[in-house]
Amino acid sequence: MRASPMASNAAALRPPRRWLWLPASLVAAGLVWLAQLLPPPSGDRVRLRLAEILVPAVLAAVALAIAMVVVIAVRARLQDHLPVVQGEEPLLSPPRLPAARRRQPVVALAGLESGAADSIAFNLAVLAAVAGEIEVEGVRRRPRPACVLPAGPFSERLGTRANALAEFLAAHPYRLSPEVVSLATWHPSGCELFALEPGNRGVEYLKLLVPALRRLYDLVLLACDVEDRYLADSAAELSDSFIVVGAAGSSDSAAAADWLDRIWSLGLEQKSGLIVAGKTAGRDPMGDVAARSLYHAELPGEPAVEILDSRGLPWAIDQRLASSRQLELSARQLLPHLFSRSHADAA
Amino acid sequence: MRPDPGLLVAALAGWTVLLLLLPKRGWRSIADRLRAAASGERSYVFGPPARTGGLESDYFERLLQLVRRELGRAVELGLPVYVAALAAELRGQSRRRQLEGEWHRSAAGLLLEHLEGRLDAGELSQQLHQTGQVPFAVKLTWEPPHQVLMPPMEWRLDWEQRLATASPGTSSEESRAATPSQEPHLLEVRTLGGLRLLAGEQDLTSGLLRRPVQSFVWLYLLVREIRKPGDRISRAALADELFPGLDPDQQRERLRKRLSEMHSLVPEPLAGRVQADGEYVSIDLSGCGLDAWQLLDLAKEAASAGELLPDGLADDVERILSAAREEFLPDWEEVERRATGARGVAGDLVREVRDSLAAAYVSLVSAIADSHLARRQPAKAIPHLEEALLRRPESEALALKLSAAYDQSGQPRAAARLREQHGLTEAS
Repeated sequence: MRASPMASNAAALRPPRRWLWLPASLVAAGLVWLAQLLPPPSGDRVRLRLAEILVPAVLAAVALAIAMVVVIAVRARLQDHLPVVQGEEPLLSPPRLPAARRRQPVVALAGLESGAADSIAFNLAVLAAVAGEIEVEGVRRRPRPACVLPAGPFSERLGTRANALAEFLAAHPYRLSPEVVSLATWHPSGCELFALEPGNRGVEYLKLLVPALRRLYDLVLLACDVEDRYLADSAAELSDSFIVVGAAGSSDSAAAADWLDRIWSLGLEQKSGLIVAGKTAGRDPMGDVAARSLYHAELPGEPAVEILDSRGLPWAIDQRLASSRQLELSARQLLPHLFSRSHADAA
Repeated sequence: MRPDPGLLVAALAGWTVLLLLLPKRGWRSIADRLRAAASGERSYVFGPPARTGGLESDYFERLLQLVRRELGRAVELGLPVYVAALAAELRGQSRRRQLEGEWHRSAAGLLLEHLEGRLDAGELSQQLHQTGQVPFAVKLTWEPPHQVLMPPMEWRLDWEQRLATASPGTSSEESRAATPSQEPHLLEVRTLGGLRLLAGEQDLTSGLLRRPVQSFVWLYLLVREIRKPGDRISRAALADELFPGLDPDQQRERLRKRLSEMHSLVPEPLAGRVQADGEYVSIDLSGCGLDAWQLLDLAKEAASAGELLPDGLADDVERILSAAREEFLPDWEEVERRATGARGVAGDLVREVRDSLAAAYVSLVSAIADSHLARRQPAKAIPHLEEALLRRPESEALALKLSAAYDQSGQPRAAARLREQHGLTEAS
């Protein structure tokens, strides 16, 4: 199993080079020393002026040092109130993603690496089911999203099996009956999960499945990998919003750039975006690629996300995590009609 | 040349002041970072202290420990930014605590507790209810369509027959309870030799036929009902028949209008018979006198009565034969041409009914001829058989019966000629 992009980048959390100023200071001090060895440029008057700043400079330095110690002393009192984090958190830009404005939208997420989109698709589904709200005939209720995951370790962790669905799809090659809902795995959040067996008939099955699910559910999330280009193309065609998911770092940046070009060439740029997962502090090649995309969002790399993913738990509902908060902001942009009501209530 | 120590100290002190005042990290992002830290979006403006771990309980030790940890950060940020960062971090932390408290009571927090096994499903549901949260969606289920068994059509036919044959002496309460359509012969429908619709003394025929579309619908439903009692047609099929070549939505819309106009444009005793229940349209002829049905029923009864018909039945057959010779709905083609331009397939159904009525007529003639021949009254049988043979010259059975009647009546030449015309032998 390949680790999710956020997992692979969690190890890359490194503090920036914060001690560069020390050698710089030493070099500067050395230069001052050397300057003393040279004859004074304008005689004793300059030397006198320099001597005049000696006392205030020393006093200021001492005062600042004392102030710093006082501040730190205050800080010491409050130490227990500040959290413990493993490294510097990345500075995330506000998400900007294309809104899917249909009543029953379909959102497709295509991972640049195998399985990269699975976790985000599942978490978006859970988030919509838990934090979203819709009104149907005057009654407020939670949305019921459907999430179609590629069959694999992640879908198995969620208890979803692909065999029954594959048999059902093979038996109904022209039109799916509403009976298909009985093959979904219900998640306690209210979203329902399907696992689609990868294979030659993936495109055909997806084209059967999406219209059927759209009729039955309030939101359909599709996760796929760009490795299967035909499937990814079909997902882009069938969806109202198409999001490419890549890991921060240099490994996915070339593939992401290729996909952005492809999206432009297909004329899908108005409904497509890029999510950079596992972003760390400092400059990132994926950040440069994302800046080229009309729509993009960033999710920070957090070890807790990896832990929750490995247990099949949705990290999107743990609002102590920055990833969760960032995904919720993204979801509000992506699915405005599901979140408009709950957002207004929260406000 | 010796360096001047005073100058050196002054330069170092100046350098230290600058070092302690100016931030050394990303100047442009400081404002965003302070804002994010103050809102609780991030824990620290830049990074956390260099070393983490437990702090000493003694305050002085703890102070020294923190000076060692924080000094680097303080120098890195410069004192003003460091102070602002501490304020933002503390404020952000307070905000985070508040949000975390709210989150624990929210649907998301409760769900995570449930998923982690710290809260069972019942408690989750109860707490959601107590906190006024909208519950999560339940599993979408599918149930196969509920099949409703229709009662057999024989029951309806039996019931109609009972109504039709109900004695006039039924109690007044029963009469009142019966719906108008169940009252016997409230409407008399004559289709053989021309359409006549009689409600008591009132002739409603022209009231129907002056409306081409409505008359087509009414007669088409009538033909279907005669062909197959209890038959009904879907709105889509009827609309397609009535407005061929149009878009399905337009067809349905137009049909809806025509059906709703039926009650205002067509006499109510006729319009009330058309039933548009949901997706299907049909005609209710219960309690009506319909000559086509009488003919078909009588033919069936005569065919099952044996060679010698009972007197009553023979009289009924004799009485109906004059009408049965007539063509079923002779005006149909004109009605169809006016309504649809004869582009539909309704004419096929009319022809089918005509054929079945013609077959019933032949069957009646055969039955009455057999009865007369059995009674040694060939002279009574011959006119019927000759008439029938004129209408159905291809019928060998009629020709055989007629030749037998000729033989019985002492007309062997006529019998031989007939056999010769039809290619029959004496043996056959």
